[in-house]
Amino acid sequence: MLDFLARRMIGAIITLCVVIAAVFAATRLSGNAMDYLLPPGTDAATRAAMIQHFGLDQPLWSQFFHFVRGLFNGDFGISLYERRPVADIYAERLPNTLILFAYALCFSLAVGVPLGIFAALKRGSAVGSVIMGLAFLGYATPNFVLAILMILFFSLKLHLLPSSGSATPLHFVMPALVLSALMLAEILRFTRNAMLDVMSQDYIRTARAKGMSRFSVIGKHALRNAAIPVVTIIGLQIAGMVGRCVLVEAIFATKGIGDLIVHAAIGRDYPVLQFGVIFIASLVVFTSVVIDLLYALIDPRVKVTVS
Amino acid sequence: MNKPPLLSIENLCISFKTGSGRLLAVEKLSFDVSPGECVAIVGESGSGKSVTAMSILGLTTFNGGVIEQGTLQFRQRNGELVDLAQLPERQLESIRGDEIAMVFQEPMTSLNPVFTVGEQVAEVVKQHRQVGKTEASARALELLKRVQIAEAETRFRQYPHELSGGMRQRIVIAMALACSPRLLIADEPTTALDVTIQAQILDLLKELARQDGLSLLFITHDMGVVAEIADRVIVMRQGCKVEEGPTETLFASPVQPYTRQLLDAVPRLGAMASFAEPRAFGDHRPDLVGDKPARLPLLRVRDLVSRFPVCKGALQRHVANVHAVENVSFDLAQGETLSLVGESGCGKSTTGRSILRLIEPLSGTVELAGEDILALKGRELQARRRDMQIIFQDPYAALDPRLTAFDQVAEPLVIHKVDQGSALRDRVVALIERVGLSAEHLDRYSHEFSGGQRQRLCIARALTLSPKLIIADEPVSALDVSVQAQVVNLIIELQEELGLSYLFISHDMAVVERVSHRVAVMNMGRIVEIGSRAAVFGNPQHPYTQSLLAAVPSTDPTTKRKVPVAPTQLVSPVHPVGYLPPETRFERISADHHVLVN
Repeated sequence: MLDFLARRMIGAIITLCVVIAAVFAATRLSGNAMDYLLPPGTDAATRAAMIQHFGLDQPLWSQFFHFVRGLFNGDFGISLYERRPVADIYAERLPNTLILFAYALCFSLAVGVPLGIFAALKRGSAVGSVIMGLAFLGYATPNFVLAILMILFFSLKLHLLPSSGSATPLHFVMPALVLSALMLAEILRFTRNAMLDVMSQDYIRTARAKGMSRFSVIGKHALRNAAIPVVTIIGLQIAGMVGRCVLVEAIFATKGIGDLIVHAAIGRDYPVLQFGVIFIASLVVFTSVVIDLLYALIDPRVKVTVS
Repeated sequence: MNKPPLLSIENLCISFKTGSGRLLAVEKLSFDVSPGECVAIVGESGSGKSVTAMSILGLTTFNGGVIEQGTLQFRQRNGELVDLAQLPERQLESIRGDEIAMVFQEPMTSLNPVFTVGEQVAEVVKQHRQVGKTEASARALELLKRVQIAEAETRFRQYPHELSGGMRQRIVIAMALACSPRLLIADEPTTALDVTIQAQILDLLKELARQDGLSLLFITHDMGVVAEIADRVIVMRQGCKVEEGPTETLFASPVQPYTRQLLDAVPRLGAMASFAEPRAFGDHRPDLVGDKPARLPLLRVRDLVSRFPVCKGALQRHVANVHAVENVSFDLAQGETLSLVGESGCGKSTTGRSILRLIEPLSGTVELAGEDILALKGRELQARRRDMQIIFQDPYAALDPRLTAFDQVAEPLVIHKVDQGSALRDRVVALIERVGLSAEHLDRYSHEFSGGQRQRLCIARALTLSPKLIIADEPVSALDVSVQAQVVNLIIELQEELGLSYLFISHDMAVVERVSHRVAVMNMGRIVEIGSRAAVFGNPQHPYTQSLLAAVPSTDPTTKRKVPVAPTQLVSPVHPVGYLPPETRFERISADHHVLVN
């Protein structure tokens, strides 16, 4: 078990190092920020002074060294636009995104897993088909369409939910629902398929031959085995959520990091962008380590896998 | 037998829904099982024997079947007579695992991989007896000891993947015996096991049945197992009962032609004692007298070693090796069959694959007609592979489901650019007719063929390039017994006709006896005994060869195997890096008979 954990941690650290280097390289290769930051017609002296001020005249290796040292000291740089520490900006924005993610994840799991099991047991019946039809719809509807339809219905027509901002928990309901649509559909589909697969296994037949009821066979023997592929898809969906939150945050004006990173990318605000990408990469790497640990907890065979 | 029957099946019909309507899997089946009796249901695949077993447990619906009519009267412990076909689910649940228990075929898949074996045994006790967790665990531990699991306390906390096949089957048996059932249904309980393990499990079942006085309903396709264990036999074919009778009578004088055919197809150990050369089933001609022409050498293997690395730790350090094949040496002449026999994990398949370089061996030499195969690279190797072909065990997995029979057989010819157009077609037709199929089969896909036909296709595919050597890796193990006999005959005929050399890999001693000129017995990656078939079977020298031969069930119920087979000591083939395997030294028994000296 410790071996397993250590192996995963080493992999995670290597991945993060590669990400940090790649992010640094990508931002420097994409052009000079001063071209955007300064108004047209700025004289050469001012321009040189600005470049020197931000350290952009240093050799690349030295910029990289400062950048990495900064990361370790908790100094992530100063935003080129807002002129305040990147850490402060993220401290403001991050909670909103995390709340959104938490809502979406909990909702998808709470609804997707039980519905998936139910759809598996009702395979071939009308109820099962309706559930799968809805899942398909959730899978196929673009996020922005769903978001606009929800605003029209819940905000304009019913006046139930606020359509923009992040002031109260109620403000997060619609963005979370939109964000979870795809994930919910995926979890539902995978739970159903995994259950169907597991229910036809020999060990389920053995459990039934022991005299266990159908219900306890599902609850004990089937569920834990079916959880293995479902856990995988949850991991992938958390990574996918990061991308989708950009759009959702823009539509509902949730002041989160998705929105922030997009603007930083457009304006070449390196410090903000770098930290954002590194943060997202860390989140994805962390999630995959957690998922691997979950595997090992669910399935005793994982620990002995010899590559 | 004047006691009232424990189970009485009357007029049972079971159907399945298929794409083209209802399929009757069991038709008007009637039989009784008395208390303390062992009844065997014998039949080939599709005979309805497993479906019958599931219906007794009330689990017909599990595979989508429906009991159309008939009664399944079962006498409960309290003397009450119930019809299992009519009983509500809740009452069936209280009978399953408590009064009627079942042991399944595949010990690998019939245990849940995510729970410890102890937990899974204790679960049955908890299900049917009003006991707490500790008491159930104590009872489970007792059961593990009863099915003779060594170090039961340690095993109790292990997961199924940490146990061997034989051990898992013991766990499944412990689970079945947990509540002292009155009827134990065993569905091919030893089919997936090695022959020495099979003998141990059969001994165990017999002993446990005797101690508890329980009735056994034994479902199998193996006549040897039937002869060994059953009091009474029911022969089934395509859902119907063909014949029923006491084991000895049925074996001595079968009434129905189908029963006779089944019995004739069973390879019997010792049936070849009077012949020197391989013989097709049903061929009783005496050996040709006179001098045989000396055979030319074809394959020469010396000191072949294949190991698989075991890596551990965070950095995946190479810490140990699985010593799969150690210093294997043998010769194979043209037109000759050398069999590699041994139990699972003995290295026989790895040897075959190392010769073909499907697995890269670590060291040694392999010479085919004087050419060093291990030194060949790229194109040269590909060209040389024309001379060496392989037939795999599972004809279901060895064929591509998306190719027609024609494409499967023609593929090697296309790859090696031998023929094209009508010449290609003519050649494929000739081949497919040679293996007993017809030209009209060529446009079909593999799922449209039966198991035996698929294996014939695989043989045709192996023959396309007119190879000199065919490595046949358990070619008949997955086939029904009557089909098995036909395929064995085909293999022998092809050798006579085409002068092929076979490296025949098998665990089935009786089949090996029939097809081989020479035999090499393997254990733990090494050849322990090698020699002419007559010498190895007639005068086995190594203790392992002796135990292997002793474990084969006798197909004659009057001479049941008397000596119980001692549990084999499992030795791990994994050794740390730097381990030097013991020297391989052979003692000469006769000119062509050598045995490993330990």
